[in-house]
Amino acid sequence: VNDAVAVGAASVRSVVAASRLGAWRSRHPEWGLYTVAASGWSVLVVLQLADLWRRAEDPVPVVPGHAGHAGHRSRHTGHLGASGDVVASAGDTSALGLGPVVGHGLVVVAMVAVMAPLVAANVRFAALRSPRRNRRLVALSVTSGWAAVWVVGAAGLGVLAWLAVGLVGRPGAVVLATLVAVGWQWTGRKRRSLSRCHRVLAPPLAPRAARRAGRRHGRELGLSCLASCAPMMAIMVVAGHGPLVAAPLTGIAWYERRRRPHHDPARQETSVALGAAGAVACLLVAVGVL
Amino acid sequence: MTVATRQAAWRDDAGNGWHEDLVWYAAAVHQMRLRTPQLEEFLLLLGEALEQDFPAALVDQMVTIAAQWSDPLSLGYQSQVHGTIVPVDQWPTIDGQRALWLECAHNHWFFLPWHRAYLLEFEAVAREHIEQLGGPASTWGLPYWNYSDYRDNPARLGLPLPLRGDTLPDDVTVPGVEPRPDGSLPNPLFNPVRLMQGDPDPGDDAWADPTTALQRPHYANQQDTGRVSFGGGVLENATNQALFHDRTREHGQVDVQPHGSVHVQVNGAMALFQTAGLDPVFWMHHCNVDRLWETFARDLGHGFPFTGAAGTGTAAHQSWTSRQFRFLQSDGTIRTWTAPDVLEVEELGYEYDSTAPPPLPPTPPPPAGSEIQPFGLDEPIPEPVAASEPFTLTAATDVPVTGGSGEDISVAAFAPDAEWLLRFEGIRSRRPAPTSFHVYLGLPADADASWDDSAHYVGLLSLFGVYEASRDDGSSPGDGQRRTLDATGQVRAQEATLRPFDTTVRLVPVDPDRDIAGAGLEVARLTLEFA
Repeated sequence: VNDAVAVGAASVRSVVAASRLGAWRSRHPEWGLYTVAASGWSVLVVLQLADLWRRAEDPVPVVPGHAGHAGHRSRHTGHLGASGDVVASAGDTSALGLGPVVGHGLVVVAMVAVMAPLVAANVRFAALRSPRRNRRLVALSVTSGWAAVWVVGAAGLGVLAWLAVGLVGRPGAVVLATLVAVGWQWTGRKRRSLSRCHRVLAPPLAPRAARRAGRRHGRELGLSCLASCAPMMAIMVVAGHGPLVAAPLTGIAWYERRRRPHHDPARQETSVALGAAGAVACLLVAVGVL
Repeated sequence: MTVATRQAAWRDDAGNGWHEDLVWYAAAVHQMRLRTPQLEEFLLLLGEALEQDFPAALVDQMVTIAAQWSDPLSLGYQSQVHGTIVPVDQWPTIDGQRALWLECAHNHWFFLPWHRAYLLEFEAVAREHIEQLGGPASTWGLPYWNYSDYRDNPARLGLPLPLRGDTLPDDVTVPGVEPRPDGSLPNPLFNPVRLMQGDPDPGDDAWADPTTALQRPHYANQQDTGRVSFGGGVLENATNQALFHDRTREHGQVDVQPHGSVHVQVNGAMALFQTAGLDPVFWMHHCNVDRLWETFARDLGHGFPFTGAAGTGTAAHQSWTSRQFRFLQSDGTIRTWTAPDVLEVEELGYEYDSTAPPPLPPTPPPPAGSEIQPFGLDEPIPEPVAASEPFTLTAATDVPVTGGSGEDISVAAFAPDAEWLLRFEGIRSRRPAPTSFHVYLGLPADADASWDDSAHYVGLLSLFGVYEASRDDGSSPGDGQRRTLDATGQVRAQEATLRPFDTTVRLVPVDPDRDIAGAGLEVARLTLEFA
């Protein structure tokens, strides 16, 4: 009897817990973004560990553009390899047996994924202003519009980074990106675009119109987000996407979303933090950790 | 501790008008004005800017003037604590400490406690000046404009007499006020840019009406539940500066009406966060809002958040107790308040001559389930059933609100205890709103609107802060504000006739003679929602 009571109580507890979780999820239609972000971080960490492991196995410096090693970079000179690999440098995707295209794509998607929580409040607002049947659809539409802009933007940043590394070498490119990012914090354009990142949408009620409006809103958010954060993300692109660089930069982006760009001394704080992150990234690149 | 009594500006005795506390208020304001460089010029520029969509050249001149207001004992400095047009990198420093400007809290549950602390700071500065002039500093209390008691006497809807007129009456002497070259004595409480200078239309008093606010069942509500509370939506994260100063969160009813509607009705400097404190009526208005909080908490028995055990230990409780309100003092030090610090007014050194509520209709019972936690924290999220297309507001407007696929479904198809609300999203404007709007639900096209028609009249759409939230210059997201009105009573009253999927909302300006079209008011979406 006691066993039966214990089993019954455990069942009740699990039902209550499931119901609480369900209630929480219905209040937080943006919850999936945190899952996406966790997946992104996992990919970046795995790639970094794979790279470290491969280097431990094969300590010989990599020759730039060596046969099929899409992720290899020159650690002798700090210059861009002939393979043009800048984007896929979160560790080494080739260590996982991934081809260059898949490797680059994976890193870009992972990078966009780790930033997804930055748009969570916007997604939540749009979803909760919709009929229940539309909430998931609206959340997906806004997210997809935002992510599409960032994927294209990340590719563009990759090209710019490729050029910069080719011109001044990787450590130089990190310094250059850091200077640009710090300077950008002080511009009116940065202030406006950061403010616009807080925009929200109350979508139409008809599903098709809601989907269209959600995607458009997501794209607009993505453009604001890109204008606000692209320079600081460029540091990550030229330094490699290792979690050691990605985490502080994502943290800075998260922090400044919680400050008033026109009021708090956030510009000074983020400029100092960006400078420090850039310096650390430069050091890590110079000693070959990244 | 001496307890000063804050008294009504409109009194019923024979000497109504320039009472002693108002004379000393004028004396203090005069001293504060003297310490505010180029104030007159600033107000002239503001008057021009309000008529011209704030051209950059005028704004630049205003910024240059306001950036000089570095004296915490001045009216200019105190007004900028509420809001400022001066960019942060041009704010003055006082003894090495940068000015603490643009600190105001609106649109959430800290609106009332922050403004109470702000009034205390202002009152302390005024007392300092009164003491210098040899006045009764310790017993002086800030007078309040008792517009919300207009049912006893409609004259109270008008500006208190000491606020009217450019010059002092012959029989009034304000200590410290010197005659002008022409021999006239300037009235320190006068502000030339107000749209309301005297008596308003006594037939339309909704802008001063606190009834809806005082009838709300709770002090606060959780964001996104669609509930309309007295004081505003809960902010569960007290350290998030972007949220604390966000002008787009869920307002409390008292924040909207009468607080916001009085700002809009008086207009001029009062129409903007950044300039409202330059008008002496601002402080008397907020003093009345503060008094209404006492009425709600004590006379009506709602108390203050977390005075019982319910809700303690939650994120909301943590936020309520830890959020600091900081004010720079004239010696460069910073005084800090929290919400719990400002709940016991007698301990703060003041009381009101009366906090009795105005006559109220029977209060409806609180929504089912709203007592589960202190503010209905687990209530369901409302669901929109019908929405409008984007529309502009230039005059009285009938807005179609439709949804579904045209089904002829009546209110009876919904749960009988459903809560209903009207939600306005993305309200934007090119200039500060010149007037508020009466909102009617389900009024037939050929029917006249009357705001004592309780079956159709939902409430007042007050638009204070909309302009600031529409600016796309980095000072706000630029996508406007939102408002929520509880329409449960009107939906239930029209149960037999209202079709929630196909209805109309009529918006009627309180003051149709003002330049509404010039303000460029637009609304992105209006929905009828239920929960």
